[in-house]
Amino acid sequence: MISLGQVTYRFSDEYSGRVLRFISRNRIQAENITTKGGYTCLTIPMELKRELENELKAIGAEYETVSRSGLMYRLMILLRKKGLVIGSLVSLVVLFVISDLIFSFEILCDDNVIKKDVMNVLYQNGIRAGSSISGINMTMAERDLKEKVSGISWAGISIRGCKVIIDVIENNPQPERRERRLPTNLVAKEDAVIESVEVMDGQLMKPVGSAVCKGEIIVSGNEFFDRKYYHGTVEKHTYFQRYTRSIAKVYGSFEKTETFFQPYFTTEKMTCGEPETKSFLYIFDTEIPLFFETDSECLISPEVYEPMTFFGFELPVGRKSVELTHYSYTQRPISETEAADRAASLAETYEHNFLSEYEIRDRSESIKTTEEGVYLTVKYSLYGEISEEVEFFIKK
Amino acid sequence: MKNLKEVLINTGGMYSYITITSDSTVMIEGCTQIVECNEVLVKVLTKLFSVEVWGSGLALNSFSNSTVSVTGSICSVGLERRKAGEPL
Repeated sequence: MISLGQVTYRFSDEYSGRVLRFISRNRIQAENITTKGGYTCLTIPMELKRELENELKAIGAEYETVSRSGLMYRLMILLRKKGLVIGSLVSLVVLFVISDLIFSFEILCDDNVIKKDVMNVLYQNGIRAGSSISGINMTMAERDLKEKVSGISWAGISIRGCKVIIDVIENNPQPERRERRLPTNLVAKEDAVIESVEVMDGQLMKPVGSAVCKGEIIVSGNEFFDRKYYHGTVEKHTYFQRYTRSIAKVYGSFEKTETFFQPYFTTEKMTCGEPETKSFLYIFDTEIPLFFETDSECLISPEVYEPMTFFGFELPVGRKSVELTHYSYTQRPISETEAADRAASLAETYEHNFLSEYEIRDRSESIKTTEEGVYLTVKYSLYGEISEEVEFFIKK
Repeated sequence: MKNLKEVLINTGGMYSYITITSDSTVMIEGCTQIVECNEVLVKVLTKLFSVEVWGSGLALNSFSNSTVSVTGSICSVGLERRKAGEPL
């Protein structure tokens, strides 16, 4: 039998005989019936309290309640503490309210651009951190996502707890297609000597071995045809003209001279002082700085986010912190040797950035030192594609 | 004749089981009345016997199915057949 509680009574032992008879006659469940020091104590379930008290009153016994225990009494004690009751009710109401709020988003996509677009569209549809889950019109939002977010072919929204999960399927990448169909010429982009030509369309204007100046037409998109026929014994010609897009690969060799200058000082970024930790209070998607001033010229470390948790659930409230280190630019004097090394490094960077498409057949350099710094002049002998496409109906 | 009487008593549920679990617990089934309960003596009546449990620091627990248990330091358990005509 599940008892809601128990009550222990104490009364004079002169009444114990009658009380015991009452207990055995009515088969009352009683525990710890003891007689000690002229008093009898017994414990009965709370449900039988009224019955025993009536009997005790009927026989004229004076009794007192020694103790109460059990779930019901504990509940009554708790109910007497109004602060606790009100606090529990408030907590329940708060839990009920916040269980209907959106705390976080998860977009199942790796592309940051798509993620940003999805968040923008959701924001426009009123789906944002802190808004009500029951107020979301998922059908409309999904439709909007499919229409407005470029790069996705399907979107689905589901809700797990207080988190909105957006599943998107990205478009399959389309193969690149060359849309240019205008008539074009291929012109020389350097003063060079043509070494080999592969013409697929267009009329070759310069043969292999000839020199071309920058801008000179190598393959023309304006083709002329001369059809020769005989009318009797008379030779006749018919001329045709056709515009086409010149497609060819023209390889040639050319020379290029570049000068790199390095002064006798260098500018470097120097950190100063110890890193300073700045914290932000993070509520939903809002970051509230917990400091008053900041310096823009600082190196910023990656953000560290520490969310608050409630029984294992991550709340949309937490603390974000970053480490800021102040820096400044300083000029450091350097030696002539270091300046020459730095000039060589500049040349190397230039080759890596601008001459990577060419084959460097020969390279000669000369160094000239002045009072300001070091001049490094490099003469390159290069081989590679020397033509570029130019639309000839459009004035450039 | 005696056997017939025994059978009638047995089938009528007149006997009660007394279980001495240890020197600290005695269980008495079929209890009709608790006569006395103090620190040294617990006396209860069954249909045929008066049961006395002697000891020290005794306490009685009564259950709704006419069963009582005596706990404490038990020295002896005594049985006395009840006289004919004694009220149950």
